[in-house]
Amino acid sequence: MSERNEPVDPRHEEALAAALRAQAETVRPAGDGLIRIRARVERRRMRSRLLIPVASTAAVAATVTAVVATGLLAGSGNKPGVAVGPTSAPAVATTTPAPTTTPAETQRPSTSTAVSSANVVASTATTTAPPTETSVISPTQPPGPVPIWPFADKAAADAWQAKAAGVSSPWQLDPKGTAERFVGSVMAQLHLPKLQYAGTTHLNPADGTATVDVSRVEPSSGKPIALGTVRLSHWSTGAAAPWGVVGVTSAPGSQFPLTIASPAPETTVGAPLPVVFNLIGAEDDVYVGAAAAGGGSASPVQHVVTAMGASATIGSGLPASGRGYIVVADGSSGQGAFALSRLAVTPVQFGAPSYDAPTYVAIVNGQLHVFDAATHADVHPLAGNATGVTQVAVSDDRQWVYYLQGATNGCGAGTLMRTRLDGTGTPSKVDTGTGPVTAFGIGGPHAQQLAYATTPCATDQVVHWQSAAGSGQITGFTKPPLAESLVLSPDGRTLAGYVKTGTQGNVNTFALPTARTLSDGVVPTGCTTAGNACISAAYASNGDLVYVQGDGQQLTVFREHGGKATELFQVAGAYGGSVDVDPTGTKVLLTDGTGRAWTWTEGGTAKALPGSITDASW
Amino acid sequence: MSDRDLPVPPSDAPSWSDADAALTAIYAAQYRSLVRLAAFLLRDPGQAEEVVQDAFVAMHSSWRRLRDPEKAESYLRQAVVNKSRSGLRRRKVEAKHAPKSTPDAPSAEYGALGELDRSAVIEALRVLPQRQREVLVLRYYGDLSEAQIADTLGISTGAVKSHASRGMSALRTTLEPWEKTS
Repeated sequence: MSERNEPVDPRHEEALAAALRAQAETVRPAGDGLIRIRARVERRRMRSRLLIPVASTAAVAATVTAVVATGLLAGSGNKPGVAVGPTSAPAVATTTPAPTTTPAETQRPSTSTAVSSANVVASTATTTAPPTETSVISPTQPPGPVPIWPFADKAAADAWQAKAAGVSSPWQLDPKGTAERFVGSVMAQLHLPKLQYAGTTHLNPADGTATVDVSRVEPSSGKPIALGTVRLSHWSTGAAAPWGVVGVTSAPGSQFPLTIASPAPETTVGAPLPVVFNLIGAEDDVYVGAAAAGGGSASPVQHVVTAMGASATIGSGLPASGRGYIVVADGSSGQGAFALSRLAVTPVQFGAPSYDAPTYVAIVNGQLHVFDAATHADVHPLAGNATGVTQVAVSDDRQWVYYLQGATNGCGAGTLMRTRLDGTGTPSKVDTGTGPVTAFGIGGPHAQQLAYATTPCATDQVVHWQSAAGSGQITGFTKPPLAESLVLSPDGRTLAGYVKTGTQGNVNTFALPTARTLSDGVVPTGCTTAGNACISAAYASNGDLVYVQGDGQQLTVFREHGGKATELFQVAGAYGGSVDVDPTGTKVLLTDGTGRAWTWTEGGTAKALPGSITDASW
Repeated sequence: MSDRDLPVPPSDAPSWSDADAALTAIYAAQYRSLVRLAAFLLRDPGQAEEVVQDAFVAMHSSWRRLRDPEKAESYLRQAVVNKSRSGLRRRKVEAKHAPKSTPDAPSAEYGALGELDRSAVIEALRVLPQRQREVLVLRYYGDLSEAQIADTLGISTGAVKSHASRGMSALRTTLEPWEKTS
């Protein structure tokens, strides 16, 4: 039976389309869709690639088993259970039970060399490192980097060494045993379940160090999951010097590396401590913690559910002093129990970060000068005779001064440069690769994060960023609007800047890496009051946003923490300018763009600085 | 003088492959409208996002075969429609075994905003047979041609015309007051 379609009234069509469009506007996607999709894509990739090592392992196991069987059948005289293979590939991974010992124990390490298909690590088939169950290189070479585990310091290691004489094969003399027990210790520190590990040792006789590729043995399938490479060094020289862990990194060439971007190894850190890490192929859960050397006092564990590169801040509870380490563990809790996938450990020094700023850098008549923060005396000029400097920012670690020079051509664009704060060395160009720069911002304790705006003549402005969140661009800054100042949060997850629209402007923040255009910008709560737009912003080292609100008659500086803004101080008769916070978050520099500048210290009032200063940074 | 190690970018930042780059670009262009399309079909914005994310993951896996943004767009639309249907089927099965709840009512927000006409149209659309609803949403929200709708739904253009005609007839009485206000 056929039926004739009735003609449709165009007015009804229009009405339906209008209703659908209006209804569609009420549906607002959450904004994290791309992150979720990418995370799922990465997980699928990871799963599919993990199948390759499994296949390889099976092949290796089959080969080894065949070789052993051949040897036995041929009556070669080799003892059963000992691998017989090509002499160029003699290393066989040994299995070690899940570590349950403490560093003080001197349990005999596992020396089993049974060739079990479930426990052979694929990489052992190709390694050329000599087989080892205990240290086979005589630790007479100068020790390498000072370890962080299993002893608190060299004195403790020496004391152990004196007592351990005569003990049979202590695991402290075995790099593999030490590495595997360290991973177990870290898991306990993070309150995560124990696992079974397998390690493959590579000794470096040239410098007396070793690396151990540690894998987790999947209980159900027996397949190895590479966790990371544990780097080891001897605590001292001598025939029975114990091994110690120096750090853990992803194996070179790893497809799914986990790296700790900040803090840098061996830097001095204190709370609050932002730990920035990068992951490729992230699992669901990341645990972050810190501990004193030797596995002593540990910080509270931070748990992050992440998709890609991310960060966590250890707010308190760090050891007060001494050496120690930062741990980042990535894994999945998909099947109830946490399954570790990757581990990274960075050695650090605990203590008050030497970030206190006894000086500040200011632009006076277009030139950079270092001033004493207490006396405001001109300590020394910076960057030789560089002139035409318009913006300046000092890295939180007080090592580098970034500045914009020569922003005087027709487009107002200049060259991004940097020089050492202590005045040594030669200024050098920051190679942005994208041409002239009109504004820039740095972030992170070591200026790991960088953002800059490029405004080629006659075209729209583009803000480029490189941070722990990856890298990308934010567009839509037509002429106007313009991004006139930029700053990145210490963890690299947020970009803030003053965006000018016509004659008006306000501070906008952009979540990275999702922000793509100007319309993704969000005005901070404290900057939305009518007539009180914000003119500049800066980040404190704990991630708090500090911004300046201007009402045309005075400037008011606020600090926003957890969505709540607190007024810090006010300056009357000022209209514009920029703000900067010192790394401790207790001192602020404010300039009004006309040559006037003020400094403020927590608990005090704003004090005007002498001279004419157009921009300044702690 | 250039100092190439200076900007300190993360050296291990992801280097996106073709599929990754395509995913990002197509996401920027299509994600929002696909979520809205799925929301019309599923009547659940949360589930709509999940469905669209599923479709993007599937598209990424199939990129070697697609390798064309236009094909990818069509693939995504089909995937969203199919997955929305599956979602509705699953919901029906779950509803059979769930305790009876009070029927859906327009939210208080709609009334407060004086959008009763619009919600009446949307409500009338919801009670249409699934195929008619799909055709009307793809035609009047997705702005697709009859041929594109036929391709998306895997039916003939004749069937598209027929579903559209029946659907519009069913909506006529609801659309008349809306037509006056809009």
